[in-house]
Amino acid sequence: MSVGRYLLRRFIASIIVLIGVSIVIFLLARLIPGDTARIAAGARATPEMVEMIRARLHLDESIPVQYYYFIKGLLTEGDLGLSIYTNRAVTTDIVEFFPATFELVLFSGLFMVLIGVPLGILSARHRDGVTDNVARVVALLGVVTPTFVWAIFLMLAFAYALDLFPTIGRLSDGVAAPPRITGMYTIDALAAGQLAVFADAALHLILPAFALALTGMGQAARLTRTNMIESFQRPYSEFARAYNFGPQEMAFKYALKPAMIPTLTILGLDFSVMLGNAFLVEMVFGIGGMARYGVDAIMHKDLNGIIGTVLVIATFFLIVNVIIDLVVAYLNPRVRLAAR
Amino acid sequence: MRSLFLGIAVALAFVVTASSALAERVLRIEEVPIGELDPHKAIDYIDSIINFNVYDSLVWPNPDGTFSGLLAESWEVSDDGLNYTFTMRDVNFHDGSAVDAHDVVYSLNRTQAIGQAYGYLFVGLTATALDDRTARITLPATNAAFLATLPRLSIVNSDLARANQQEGDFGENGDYSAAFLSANDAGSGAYTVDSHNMQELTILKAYPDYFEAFDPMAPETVQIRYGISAATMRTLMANGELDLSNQWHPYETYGGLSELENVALTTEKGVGYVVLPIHTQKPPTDDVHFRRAMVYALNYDAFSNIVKVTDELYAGIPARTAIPRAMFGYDTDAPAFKQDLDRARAELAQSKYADSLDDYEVELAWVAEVPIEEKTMLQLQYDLSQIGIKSRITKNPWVRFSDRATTMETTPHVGLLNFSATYSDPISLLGDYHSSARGSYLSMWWLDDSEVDRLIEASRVELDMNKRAEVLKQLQRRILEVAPAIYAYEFDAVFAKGAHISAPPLDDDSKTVPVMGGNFRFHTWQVDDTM
Repeated sequence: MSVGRYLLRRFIASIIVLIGVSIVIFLLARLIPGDTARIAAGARATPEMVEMIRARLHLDESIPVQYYYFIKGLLTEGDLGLSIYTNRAVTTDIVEFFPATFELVLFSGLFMVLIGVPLGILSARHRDGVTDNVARVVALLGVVTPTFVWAIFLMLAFAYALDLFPTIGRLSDGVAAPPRITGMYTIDALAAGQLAVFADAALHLILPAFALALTGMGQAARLTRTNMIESFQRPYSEFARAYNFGPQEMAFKYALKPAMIPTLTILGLDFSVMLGNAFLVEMVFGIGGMARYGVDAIMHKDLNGIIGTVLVIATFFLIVNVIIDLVVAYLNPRVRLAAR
Repeated sequence: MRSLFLGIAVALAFVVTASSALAERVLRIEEVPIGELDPHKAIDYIDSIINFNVYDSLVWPNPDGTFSGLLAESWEVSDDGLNYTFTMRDVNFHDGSAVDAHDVVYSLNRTQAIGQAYGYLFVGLTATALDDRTARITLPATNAAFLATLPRLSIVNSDLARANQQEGDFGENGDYSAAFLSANDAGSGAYTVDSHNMQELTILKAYPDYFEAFDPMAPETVQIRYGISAATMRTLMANGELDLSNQWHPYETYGGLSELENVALTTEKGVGYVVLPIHTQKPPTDDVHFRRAMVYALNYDAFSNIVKVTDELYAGIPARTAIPRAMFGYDTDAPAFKQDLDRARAELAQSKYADSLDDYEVELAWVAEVPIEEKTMLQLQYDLSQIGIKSRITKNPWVRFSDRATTMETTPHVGLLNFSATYSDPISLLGDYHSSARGSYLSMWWLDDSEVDRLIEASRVELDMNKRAEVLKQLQRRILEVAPAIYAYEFDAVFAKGAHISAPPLDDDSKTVPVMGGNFRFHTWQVDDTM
């Protein structure tokens, strides 16, 4: 099957998944206790004011009719409805808050891959040695310690005690945000040629991204180690050793590539999950991202906010899965051959 | 590759110099998100703070209960108390256009149409621009608290708003500029909005042409950060990167911060209290003697441990009555509540449930997002057990708690709430005892007492201050008589601030106004950069 046809099939399947997700979350959100119109109007609002808001939000209609209005707004105007939490369009909220979280998750993903995988390789190559044991402890700490604990620890250690990094926010005081293209300060600063702003934004991202990445880093290290060790024990590795291939070539040509397949799959899942799990890190480091927005939407029974956030995360999940599948297909010839 | 690293090193050098380039007086505060910029949707503490700095109202309350003109230079009240005629002050909005009577009309119509936040205060009112400088507001009925409600009517630049309105649900008014005003400034206040991310950071800049004088050391820039954790706040204050905390962190955090040299604690007193509403319609708390027994059973002195911040500072004082002490009409003759188990048992003996206490279990419900409330409920549970009342404690997420309060059947026997005066009149709190106010978390007592209703209505229409004070005193006493709540303590909001910050309305009780957010008008504050 050609890549184009594969992508088309996945795209169609993704649309079906998103429709299903939207229906499920549409219904689930309405199970949260609380009268949305009353919450939006305020506790002292008159009954007339509450009913006015109820009508404006179509909450006086049946659920299928409410869903119809939601889908109609989404498909005709890209409108995800009004957030009663922020009192503005959910689309506006997502456009404003999503880039901050995505930027954080992107940097976290880079840490996961650039540190987690090499740690696993090191561990596998020096199996049962000092290096392996240290790496395994580090990886285990990453997996077992909650992200918010790491976030607070890193902030106290490196921002407060050692004063090496900024404590909170996305930019230093007095540093203006770059002209907006994506909303991600690092990317936008590079695009505008503002190296100083890029450096400042990157500096602000290091601690939160590292905190968020630690769990995935630990998983990546452990998975890479385990799978590489298994690869080392395979017949093709034995064969390569018999032909006196060096350790470098053994590790990177024969062991790493097959080991990366399950690791990448898990990394892809971790990467997607981080989008929703980032809210505690965002809170510790004062980042106004979409993860925090989603949690607050739930706490305020902001129906449209909840649905909008879930749909964004679901879409992100689907895109990442497709990318991972394509990468796995590239790495694993058997998958490509089977597809033909 | 080497040149890339060199470029990054150079960039980092720029970062360092950029950070140290600020020379103006900056006030950095933190608060709970979100920061609502639209003045007619502003409802929470931080919304009020932003609102009172970016926008102006017609009048502003003084600490002594009187009012000073803000956008109104003067006003006249008709004999029947139904017509208030305001002469507008000659001032400008931030865009340079003049504030006039038409803006008052637009603002009142807008807040009524949107129907959120404090719009309920202005239901039925009509505004007319008699000329550019004269606005008349007509009330449907006499309301002695009307002037006190006006700080909640922010005056918006109607020309700017109309120029930026989009399609919406309000006919010719479109969306009433909801989209524009949620992200932009259309005010005349002491500060303009420089940038606004309602979940992360809002930056305000001093408006140089503001008609009121700025304190010479008032901040030129105010940075409001949202939603940072207690650990982060503590780190920032210790580092000197934050000047004022919010009031919602655990007291242990403030206690720890007070030990730092560069940090001081300040309080906002007399604006709020902690009340445990008692359901007056659900057995066994539907019996007044049962409720009075609960009131006398509580160990009020134990709350000093709950509200202790440091050995010198407590975040509250024993309550005496149904309103906090900064409010007009506060009954100064009322004694502080004290535990009296003998009296509690005597009241319980008169209750129709005296012989069947084992058949009932009183539910004590607290809000999950406020952990300190559990301590209060545990204390109450213990105290009730001393007089034989069985109880169970339930933890409720806020959404569920507020939802349960909307019907009589689902409202718990006892809840716990922090009340703050949203405007500077006692009716802002006492009005919730009226039988018509039932059905929200603000009136979980479900009280239906004709005498309370009569006194509330009388206090609303009595324009003579002395007579009104007497009516309010009678009302407070009647409320205590029917015991719809346990008044645990008056809470004083505690803030950690930099030692170089002076906030007169917080540091000096005589300058405090009993309005949520009203003591944060930053042009009266001081940032001493020399410290």
